[in-house]
Order: sequence, then structure tokens, then C-alpha cells
Amino acid sequence: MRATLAWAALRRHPMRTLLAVFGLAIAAALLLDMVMLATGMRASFRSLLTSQGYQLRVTPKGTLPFDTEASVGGAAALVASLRSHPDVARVSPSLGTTVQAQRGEQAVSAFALGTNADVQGEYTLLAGREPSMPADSTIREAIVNATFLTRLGVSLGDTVDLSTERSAQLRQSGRRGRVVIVGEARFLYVPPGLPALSTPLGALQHFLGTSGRDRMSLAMASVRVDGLDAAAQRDRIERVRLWIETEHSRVTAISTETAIVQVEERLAYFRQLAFILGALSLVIGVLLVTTLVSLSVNERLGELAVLRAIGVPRAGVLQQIMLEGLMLGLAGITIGLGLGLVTARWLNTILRDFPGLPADLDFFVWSGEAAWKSLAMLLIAATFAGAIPAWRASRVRVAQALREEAVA
Amino acid sequence: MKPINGTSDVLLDARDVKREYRAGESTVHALRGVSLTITRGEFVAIVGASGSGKSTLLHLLGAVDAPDVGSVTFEGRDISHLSDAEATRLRLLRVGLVFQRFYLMPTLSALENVMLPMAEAGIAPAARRARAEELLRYVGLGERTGHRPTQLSGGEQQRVAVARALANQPALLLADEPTGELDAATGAALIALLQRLNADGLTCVLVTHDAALAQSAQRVITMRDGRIVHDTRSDTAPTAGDIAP
Amino acid sequence: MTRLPKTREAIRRLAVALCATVGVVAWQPLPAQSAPGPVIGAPRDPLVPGRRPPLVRGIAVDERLASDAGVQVGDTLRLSAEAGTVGEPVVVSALVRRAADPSEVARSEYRVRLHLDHLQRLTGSADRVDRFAVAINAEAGPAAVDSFLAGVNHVAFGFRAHASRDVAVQSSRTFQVVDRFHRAIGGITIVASAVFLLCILLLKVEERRRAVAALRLAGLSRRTVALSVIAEAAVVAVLGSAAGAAIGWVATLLVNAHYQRVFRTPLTFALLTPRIALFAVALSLLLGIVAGSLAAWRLVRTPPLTLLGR
Repeated sequence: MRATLAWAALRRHPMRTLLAVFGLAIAAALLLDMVMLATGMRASFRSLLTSQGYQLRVTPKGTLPFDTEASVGGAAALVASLRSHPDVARVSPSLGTTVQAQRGEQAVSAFALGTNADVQGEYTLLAGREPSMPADSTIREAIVNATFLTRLGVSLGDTVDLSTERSAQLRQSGRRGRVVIVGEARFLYVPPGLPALSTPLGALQHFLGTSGRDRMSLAMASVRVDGLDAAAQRDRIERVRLWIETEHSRVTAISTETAIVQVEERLAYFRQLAFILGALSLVIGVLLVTTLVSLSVNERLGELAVLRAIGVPRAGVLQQIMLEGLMLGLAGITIGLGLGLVTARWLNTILRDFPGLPADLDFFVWSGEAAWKSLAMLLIAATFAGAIPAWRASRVRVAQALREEAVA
Repeated sequence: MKPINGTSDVLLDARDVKREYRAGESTVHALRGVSLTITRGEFVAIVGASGSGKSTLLHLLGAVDAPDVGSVTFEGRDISHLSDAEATRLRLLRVGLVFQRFYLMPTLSALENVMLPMAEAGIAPAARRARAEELLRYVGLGERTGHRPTQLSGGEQQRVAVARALANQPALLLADEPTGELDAATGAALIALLQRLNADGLTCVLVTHDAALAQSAQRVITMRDGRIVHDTRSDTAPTAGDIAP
Repeated sequence: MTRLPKTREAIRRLAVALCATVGVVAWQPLPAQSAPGPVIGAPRDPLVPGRRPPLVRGIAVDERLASDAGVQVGDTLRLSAEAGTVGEPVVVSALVRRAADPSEVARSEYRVRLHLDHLQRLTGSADRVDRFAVAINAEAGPAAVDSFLAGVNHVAFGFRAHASRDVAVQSSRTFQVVDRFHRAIGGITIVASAVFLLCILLLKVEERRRAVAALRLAGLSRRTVALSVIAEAAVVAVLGSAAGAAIGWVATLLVNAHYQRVFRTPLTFALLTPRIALFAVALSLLLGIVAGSLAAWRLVRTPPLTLLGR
């Protein structure tokens, strides 16, 4: 019966209720979006970093992976040392550089990645096969991304000329090679729109000559964590990380957690914006419900006094008014959920245009838990926003209210 | 004038009840010491000019309000110092209230309005629906159960209010100017309904300006300036001066 | 070299990303006994064309690094292109303040500046540069820039010339994205605020239904009553938005103070311009009038006695 009364009270002023629900829906949508933004970057980046099973990234001292053109020498020995650690399951070294790719009159600057196909965690093969490592280390085969194929107008099986640098004076390229495109891949950490290719690490090192000899830009290490709980996994990874930094002073070992923290530092603005706007949307929701319910209670003080007079207890009146807040909240949140998902997709499309970000990095990521927690928070806030007017309504002095109602 | 015999089967007993309240800057002495006994089955009309304290007395008798001084006993129980929850429970189960302006819930149908106190009393939905329909038939509105208050005439609304007051089979029906918003014919129909209820054994106490309604009562209590000035049986009709505002 | 607090020792061990030209250099303090005494005052090793490089080269250190690591002019450090190697001694000749660059605001990088030949030698990039900046004679006009670009690119092999304005457009892409994002969020917030405002104003006006009924019963025309309701809503909206603009202005001060401290930059993060304030007030006024009109329309159409609940 209380639900009936609450529902009836909301239906009494449809325009008012509609506006309140719409306002709450926008507040809910904004809150959902901001929660998705605040948690999404982290979740997306974590998913990106852990998608290939590597928990540690080893880079030249003081750098982030491929953040600069820095590389570290003695790669083979370093990788062998890493592999020798009993808790390290596998290591994937890679070397990144910029090369010129040319076919006929078409030429592009491309990101070239040298890595070993059996352990690589940089790309997923979409078509064709992995490039093979020739016995003489000469660069012969490569896999490329879709942008590379489009920009150069080539397809699988075509041959492309590569060169390391060009001399304007001599009108000559630096080191040169010719590769056959044997596969198409999606490079996980390469921004969309940047042509990229990958060859076996040894082949690329050989191709680069002295500047590439036995060098690598990054080594990813997978730590054995099977059977360990989350805390123990973190402990083991941290132990291996510390071991690497102690043993090898030329490198920095970055765990997934650290990498996430560093990226979050750079994108702190978005998290804080999300927090502020999320809080604002909560405040708007609460204010909206408080105002609406307060006015509704003021208008119905006589009615509520009659309810009390005919035997409805204070708790009953309190519940009924709070039910109104709950119903408004439920309706607003239901609509807000859909609205939030649509706007999140739109906002994500805008932010994914950021230059230099990996194609798979999302800013707004749906998380059921985060969504229900935030929306439940709004629902609770909306319900309790009605609590103050509801409390006032429940404390109405019946005889006085009836007297005043009779005079009015 | 015939004195009241208050010794047998007393339902209500008010002793030296005083009540005052603030109205803006001033204090209104609504009741200045009222004593009154009502036995079961009586049909009592309380009359008097506006501000004479009749509505305040009605509120005290129905545990809507509490006296500042004195005591009110209902069915042998002192109700002048009940907690809010106790007073609410008493009103829900033992007292039926009817108001001048009906005060039906505008968003509920006639049937839902009558079912409301029963729902509050925890009666099962099927049982309360059946009883609400029976009560609406009793007040002559069996065909209008689904109508909202705004779709009913004043007389019909007041009959729904009476049905609502009867929902939990109260021992006492209190009505504050029940015919105040009704025309003469509709008022007469309502008076007939109240008399029928009284004939069926329900104790009715009414506050009224309506001479016709007052004359239909077995007992008329006249108030002036917060005091009872006359307490008479129906064979002694109140004068126009007693009733007129 | 001055002795550093222990807490800063870790910072000293950090490698320094050098973005001025190619490569990354690592640096570390030289052992105290080999360091020359600190020189306070004029920078050492000024850039003098044709001068023979001194044995210990001078570098400029950005003030953020200097502050975090306790480096002062005259300190001697070791600088290497690769972490873990001994590197060569350099003396801090100057402290420099980097221009506030929004594109670097969230990057807590340190920078040092070297003479070009010094960096080329240090990184093994003999006779290599990333880019040239070319100034065209001012009196030649904009057409000369295009003509120069066309000429260079016609014969260029392995490099390309860009006009500064094009580079600016390209490098501001990040900010274009942020700007689009802000506009989108702003749009959503405006819609939310508009609904909120509309709702509040509508409620506020409806709250006065009895007063409106009294006015109508007193013989005031519908038009007069409607206008008074609309005027009231408009005034409330304008006053509210003016108060909101004042709160917004205080918020911009707090936001700027916070982010300038967090990112250690003089950049302005939030700005309340007269145009924005005017927009807020105008929007509120519009919404006030809409809400007032809606409420007035509903109120004057309803008979006064109904408004009174009779």
C-alpha cells in the first residue's frame, strides 16, 4: 500500500516527476561515465599489459618502454641472465627503431620491431605466418600492420625495400634491405595510424649494423606465479623485479603495477576530473530528490497528517516518502544506465583520438562491479535525500496540521 | 434537561481536561477544564461557536492530541499520556475519524482509500479488499469502488471517508463537521448513514454546526469558550444560539 | 660538489630523458674528491663561436632537476649516454627554466641542455641532428615561407621541411582531443544543469500556487500573473547563476592552485572568462524564462479555486 501511495504521489505531478527522473538519469549517466573513466583507464591498461602474460618490463635505465629511442647493449647476456632466474618463465627481448619502407614511388616511415616470434608479446597475428629467422641473420621477411599495408599499397606476399636512414647530400639510403611481407598483425602497443612491421630480433639487429648490434629496447619477463594467491604473486614479482635492478644497474625493471601507476600519473587529470564530476553528479542527484520530495511533502502536510490521524505510524509515513525517493532514483538510474553507456562510447571515441596511444587502450571501460556500486551509491543517496523531508513529514503534529489545514 | 448517567458501560471518560496551543504570537486556551463521559452506543453531537474548543475536544477523545492537564480514558485505559506509537495504534484499530473536508487520498481509488487502514493493520489483501467492497456497498457506493475522489461528489467522498473510518471495526466514530461541505440533501443522507451506524451499535461523536445533524443525535453537548455549557439528551434540542457560529 | 641530503640520493640515480636532440643520457654525481669547487654567479662555458671546447664541458640543468637533486651552478656531475657506464664529468654551468608547455605538463621528466657537438659525441651521433629551425627574412612575407618549403621539399631526400604553423597544428592534436572531450563533458553538464535548473524553478513557481490563486481572485489578469511568475523565475535564475559564477571563479582559483602545485607549472588549468560567465548567466536566464513560462502557463490555466485545493 505504501508503494501504491508513493507511486501515486509521483504520478500526481507527471511533469515534475518526469523532469526529476530525467535529471537523475543524466546525473546517473555522468556518474557511470566518470566511474568508467576513473577505473577504465587502469583496467584497460592492465588488460593491455597483461594480455600476453608478461608481468615485468625491463628497459634502459630511467625510461618507459619505447618512450624514448634508448636501447641497452649486451642484450643477449642480459636476456640469458634474466632467463637464468628460477622464477622467470620466459623472456621476450625486442628492439624498436624507425625505418623507411619503400615500394616503387611510395615510401613511408615505419616503426620496426625486432622480436622473437616464439616468445613475443607485442602483436597478434591476423593473417599469414610469422617471419622466419634466416641462418645468416639477413633481414628477409616481415609481418606488418594494416596501416602499413594501406599506406604503402601493398599486400601479403609483396616485397618492400627498407632502409635505416637517408643521406640528403648523397641522395642515398643508409643500410638497406628487402623484405617479403609474410603476415599481417595487430600491434598491441602501436598507435593506430602508425605503420609498423616486425622482423626477428636478430635480423633487425643485423640490419641496423653497429647501432643495433646486440642491443634491445625492451625485454618482457614472465614470472612463474601459478598456484599463488594475489598477494603472493605480487611478492614474487616484486622480488624478481628487485633482483633484476640489483643485478643489472643499466636497466629499470617495471612491474605492471608500477607501469599502471606511471601511466595514471600522466593521466591523473582524467581521474581527478572523473572524481570531481562524479561527485558533482551525486550532489545534483541528491539536491534534485531533496528539493522535489521536500516540496511534495510541504504540499501534502495535511494529507500526511490525515494518514497519521487514521493510524499510519511515523515509520509508515517515513517509508512512504523515502519510497518516493527510491522510485525516482530507480527510474533515473535505469534510464541513466543506457544513457551512460551511449555517452561513454561517444566520449571514448573522442579520447581514443589521442596521438600516440595504443589502439587497444580504452578510457571508458564497462565494469559491472564499478557500475553497480556507483549506481547503488546514487540510489542510496537518492533514497536518503528524501530522508530529511520524510523525517519532517513523519514528525508532523497531527492535531496542529489538521487545524491549519482546516483554516487554509 | 436530563442529566447523563455515566455509570454503565463507559467508553470514554474525560476528566478536567485543559488544552492550550500557540497560534502565532498568542496562546489559545482551547479547553479550560472539560469533563465528559460517553457510554457505548451513544450518538453524541458536540456543538458550539467557532473557537469554542469542540474540535480540540474531539481530537483529545480520539487520541489525535493529548491534554495539557486532566485525563482521557478510553475503554478503561488512560490515553492522555500515550506514546506516539500507542496513540497511532489506538486510532488505527479502535477509533474511526471523519473530517469536514473528507481528506481522502486523491491518488487512490475509493476502494484503495478504504483498504488503506486495513493494510496498515496488517490484514491480508484478499480480506481487506472483500471488507472494503462490503463497506462501500454499506455506504451505498458499491458501484463506484474504482473511482478517484475527484470523480466523486462531495457526499460520495464523505461516504467513502466514513467507510474508511469503519475499516478496522472501531469502537468509536469521531466526525468533525461531517456535513460541513455538503448541501442539505446530501447532508441528510449522511446523517441517515450515521444514524444507521449508531443503530448497528457504533458509538458516534460528532462536532457540528449543523442543527439538523445535532438534532439527530441522542445527546447534544454545547461548548463555549473551552467549557461545556450544556449537556442534554435529544429530547431537549439545542437552541440556534448554541449551534450558530 | 655540494653534499646532498640522503633522501635526494635516489633521485640523483635516475636517468635523464634528453629530448633536445637524440638519445638519452644518464648522469650521476662525481665523487666529491674529484669535483672542482662550486662556482656561484655567471654561467661557465658560455657559447662563443669558434672557441675551443674546454676539457670539462658545461651543461645547463632545468630548475626542477636542480631543485629535486640539490644541484647548483658549479657542481660537477658525470654524464653518460648509457646508464651504468662511468660517463664523463660535466660542470653545471647554468640553471634554466623551461617554458611552460602544456604538452609536457603530466610528464615529470628532467632535462639537461648540452652543446650540440657535446651531445653528438656523447651519444655517438656524429654530425646528426633531429631538426633544423630556419628563419626566413621577416620582410620576405608569408609567401616566401611557402616558396622556401616548396623549394626544399622538391630537392629533399630523407627529410622534409614543415612550416612552423603546420607543426603547431600537428603538435596541438592532443589539445584538440582534450578540447573536444571538454566540450563533450561540458555539453553533458550543461544539459544536466539545465534539467536541474528547470526542475527547481518549476517547483519554486508551483510552490506559489496559492499566492497565484489569491492574485487571480483579487482580479489580476492572467497576463499580469503570468508575467510576474516569469519575472520571478528569471530573477531567481540570474541571481543563482551570478552566485554560481562567483563560486566557479573561486573554484578556478582552487583548481589552478592545486594543479600548478601538482604539476609544478605556471600553466593555467581553469579559466573563467567574462564570455563564459555571460554564457552561464544567459543560459540560466533562458532556462528561467522557459521554466517560468511553463509554470505560469499551467498556473493561469487552472481555476483559482482549484489552485486553492477547493
